[in-house]
Amino acid sequence: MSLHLNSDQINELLQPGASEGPRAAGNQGLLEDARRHLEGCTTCQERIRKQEQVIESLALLKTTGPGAKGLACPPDDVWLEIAAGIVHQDSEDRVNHAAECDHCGPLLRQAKEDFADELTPGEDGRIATLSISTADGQERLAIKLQNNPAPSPIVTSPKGRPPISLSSFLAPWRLAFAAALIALILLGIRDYRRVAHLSAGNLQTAAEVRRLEQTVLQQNRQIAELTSKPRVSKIPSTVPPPQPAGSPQIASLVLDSGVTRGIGALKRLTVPKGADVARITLRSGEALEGIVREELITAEGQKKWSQELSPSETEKRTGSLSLLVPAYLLTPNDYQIVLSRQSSGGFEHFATYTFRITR
Amino acid sequence: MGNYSSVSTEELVHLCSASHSPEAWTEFVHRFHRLIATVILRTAGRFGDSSTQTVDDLIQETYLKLCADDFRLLRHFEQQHPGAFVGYIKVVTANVVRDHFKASHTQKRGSGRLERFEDDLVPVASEDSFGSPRSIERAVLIKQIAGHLEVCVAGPDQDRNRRIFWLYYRAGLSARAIADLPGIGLSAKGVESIIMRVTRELRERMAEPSMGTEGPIHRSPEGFLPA
Repeated sequence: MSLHLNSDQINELLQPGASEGPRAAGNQGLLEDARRHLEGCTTCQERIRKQEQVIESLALLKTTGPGAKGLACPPDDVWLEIAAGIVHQDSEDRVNHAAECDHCGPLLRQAKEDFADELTPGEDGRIATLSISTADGQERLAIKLQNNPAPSPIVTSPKGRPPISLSSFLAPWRLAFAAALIALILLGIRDYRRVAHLSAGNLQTAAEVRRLEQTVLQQNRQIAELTSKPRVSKIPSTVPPPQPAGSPQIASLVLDSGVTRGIGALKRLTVPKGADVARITLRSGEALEGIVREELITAEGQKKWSQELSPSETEKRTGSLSLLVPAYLLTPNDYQIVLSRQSSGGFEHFATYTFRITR
Repeated sequence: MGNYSSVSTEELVHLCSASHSPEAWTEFVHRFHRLIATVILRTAGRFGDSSTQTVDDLIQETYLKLCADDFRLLRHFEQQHPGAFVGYIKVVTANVVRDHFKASHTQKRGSGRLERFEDDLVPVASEDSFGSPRSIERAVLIKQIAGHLEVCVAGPDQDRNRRIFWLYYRAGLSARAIADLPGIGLSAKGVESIIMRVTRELRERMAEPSMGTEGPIHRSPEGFLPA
């Protein structure tokens, strides 16, 4: 036997519950020897004590709550998506950041805890007491959801809510609110009359806007021709024919593929007044080979625009496609751009991009 | 009237948003009620109000959100992998709770009530606040440990193993939670094993300064120094 404990023996002694469990039972004799040695050896006692101090210091590393947000920190809702298993191209980098960030690390921990599948007995009990947990409650909710896309809340037990009495109905703040509401309605009627006068002027402006839109369309075609020869754009026949004009103004947006992002994470493109063309860069994880079809679809499923193209060498190398879409087509709404590639059986979908247009 | 209990999640989502079938919605509520309620219960608890009334209201708000704009969220959902909808519902639900409490917080702040501080008030910084002795001590400790980790963790998976170490000790994630994260590629047991091995290496190095962070290092094929 050596003069002092070796690192394996020290490790065994430092394990929580070292004298319990099946593992300990097998090592019982060795652990007993190590303990006997430890009792009489100050050198090994000191070694154990120092290692225990390190264990204690590791406990100090844990943050109690989210610290200050840094410049490199992504938006907080990113951690919800990562914790929920919604993965994007940059998710791994984000986790790497969270590991060493006192703001993002705790947010990720909280999100993981909130999304954990296992329920504690306490949570189980709480959920069982909810009004919607009963079969009857679920059925009533289902009927409301099916009947009305925006159902009114189900009336639950009035427990804890004070009854509304006549005196409270006639409370001064309620009367003041009603008076303010009436005043607002009257002001609204006056404004409506003014707006009616202005609408004639608007018609003239609208005609001007239409002329400009046609100009933009022509420019878009010219740009598409210059940037990629084999591109073929299709715009539904309702769109008016183009006319030539001066140099275009361009609004830009970069998108990553995927549509399962949270509500808050929807990318937005604000198309400023006077913008002629929107340049949308689509970052794809896929190899961009062959003919690619790009389709712009509204939230209502209406196809607004499409084109087929052979990606340029630069686009193939960077894995990004650059689209030039006439700005007037992008009215405020939610949109999807769907990418498909040509295969033997037609076009095969391979990426979807979701974004919101605001003005 | 069909039996929807055997229908896939993707199909059920489609049926709910397209056919408006009451049976489909009953199955949807039956399948996802527990999940939605759990997320609401926990997230609302963080905001300090997980009363039964609040949780009930938030559950209904979540369904309203799913049904808004003619089921826009359901119609736009694209199943990219099995279980994706569960993740999607979790995120939607958590966002509903956060928006609810943000809005109620804003209402409280804008209610016209003024809070007045006393002239001689000196706000007390928390023990963990930036610049406090404890936070300085912790920053030094992190730097010290990072230096030792550079030596302790080596090999092809050193970045991943270092990430696991910090996620466990610094962010406070459990081994199981770490295993689920993108780029980890290990089971919970695998993560536990990495944590134990790195911790042991680190403990021995820090407790015995003679091992230091310099000098020749003999790395084992697994990427850890021999004990």
